[in-house]
Amino acid sequence: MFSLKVFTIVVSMLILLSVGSLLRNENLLFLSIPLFVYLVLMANFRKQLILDLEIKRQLEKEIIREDDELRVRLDVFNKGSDIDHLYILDSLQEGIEVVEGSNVMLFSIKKGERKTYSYVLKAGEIGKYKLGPIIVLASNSDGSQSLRKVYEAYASIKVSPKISLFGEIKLMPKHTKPWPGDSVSRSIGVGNEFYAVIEAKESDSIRRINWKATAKTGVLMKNSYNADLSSDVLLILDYRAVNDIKYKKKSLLLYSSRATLLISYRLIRDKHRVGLLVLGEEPYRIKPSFGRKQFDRILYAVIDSEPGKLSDLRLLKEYVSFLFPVTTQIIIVSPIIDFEIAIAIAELAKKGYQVTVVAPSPFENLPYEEMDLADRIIRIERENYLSLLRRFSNVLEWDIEKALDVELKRASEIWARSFR
Amino acid sequence: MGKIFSLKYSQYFIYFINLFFALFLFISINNSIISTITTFLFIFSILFFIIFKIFHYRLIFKASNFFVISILFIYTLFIFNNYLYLILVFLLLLLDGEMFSFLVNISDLLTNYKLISESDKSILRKNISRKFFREFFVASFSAFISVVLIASLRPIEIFNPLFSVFVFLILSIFLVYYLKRFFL
Repeated sequence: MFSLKVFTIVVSMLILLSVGSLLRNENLLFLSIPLFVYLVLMANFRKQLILDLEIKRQLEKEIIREDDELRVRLDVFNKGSDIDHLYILDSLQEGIEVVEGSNVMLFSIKKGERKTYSYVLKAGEIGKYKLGPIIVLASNSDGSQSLRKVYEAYASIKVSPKISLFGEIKLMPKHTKPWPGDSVSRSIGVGNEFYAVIEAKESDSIRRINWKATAKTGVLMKNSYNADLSSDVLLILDYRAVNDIKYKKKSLLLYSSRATLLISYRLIRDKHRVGLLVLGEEPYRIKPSFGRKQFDRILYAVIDSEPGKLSDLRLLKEYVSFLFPVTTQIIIVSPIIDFEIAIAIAELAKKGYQVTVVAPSPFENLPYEEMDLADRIIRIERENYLSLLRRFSNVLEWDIEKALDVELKRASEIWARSFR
Repeated sequence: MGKIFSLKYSQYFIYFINLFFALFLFISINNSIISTITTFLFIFSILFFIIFKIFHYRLIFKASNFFVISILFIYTLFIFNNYLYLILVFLLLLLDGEMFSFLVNISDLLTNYKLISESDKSILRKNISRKFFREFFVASFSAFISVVLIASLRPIEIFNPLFSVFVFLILSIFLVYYLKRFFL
């Protein structure tokens, strides 16, 4: 197959000959000669091009943290003819940035030769990114023949959030589990939060005796503390397509999933049993459990989630109550921009669940006068939903510009006061 | 300044230099028919450039440059009456178009030029220089052969209409032969 270049030359030559003959202009006729000679030279120096490549892509890791770098290596083996200009483009999804090397390369390769090149990429945001397909353009040095081929070689990388600096979350669970944790419970036990001075038993350690109280009452008294226990937490991520709103060029779903991962990591670290429910196209559930493996499960589930249209949110209360006992504390991450989710949360609270809502705000912190009318209406509606939810659940309206852990800490102090 | 003159903008430099020359000729030469034709070509070229900037489809940018080269070609015909100059300028324009097309094709690579390693840079430079040299050689050789060919045919020039038909027929036969033999 000859290239566009040959086609252009032939057409130009025919135009020159035709116009030159019609106008009887010898200059135009003469000008067709160099084109013809050019074409003849190209044809004589031309070699038959056979494009038969074997391309392999190797990734250093499959999962990286945001702002971490990943090296991608491309291995090209030529089984066809010698290629003077081989142009390889490894397609990258939007959001991936090349920081070293290039995902595009131009080189010549001989028959039976193997060439390797690599590049380093970085993904700024959490999520799942696709690499591929690999587009190959081969041409001979004069450009008379060019072949294009698309290699359906795909790979995906997962980007997890940077979580090492996320601060402590103070949960005030109504129901605790017997195993030790970091949450202050209402029962007496081993902990740091002072509860009361009570009468000591014989089995109590002598270190616990409050000698002043003992002297006053004449009975052995001791300091008692609220036990630090753990609880079951269910994180619900609202990943419906309706929440796919752009906030400063980034999807709000990105912020929601990021918040879910950060909270789950911290809760698991604080010895809570954490489960996950993703409301996307279909509800996806992970049973509550402990440990690093559980976080990996949550991470994969969140990153693999695709936004979808959940058929009926009213079934959420049935679904949750069927799978998770009422002692489970629920944390819902959703921007709360529709009535259905507000009602679903209200029904969960009515069932007896302790519900906390983390609502990333889709609006910039602007006064009402500076907003569009449509935005103003949606914002007022959203504030109505949030005020409805505040009656029976803890609500954190999260300004995305601010750090989530700081906001959560501030809010949890307020919730703790009302809890007492 | 360093950023503006980086390699990734080389395709734009070539395009705007061509456009600048075309504009210069447009302003300096007053001929109503040619001016009308070239005005349309200018409009097409700039329109195509804007479309390219919106959709980033390379072929559109190549077409945009092709219109500018056509303008230059039309003015070349107008300025030079000597076929030797015409051939030289014509091949220069061909070389210009070819190199522009090559740079547009590898524009993604030129964008990342600063990021690639020294060994990759040398491979790339080698490939580009080889391409430039090859094109230059073929164009120069074509010019030389053309000039020799036309000079040898010059005595027939007096039979002007007959010569046209003769050249047309010979070139057509050769063209069909070469297309069939090598490209089809």
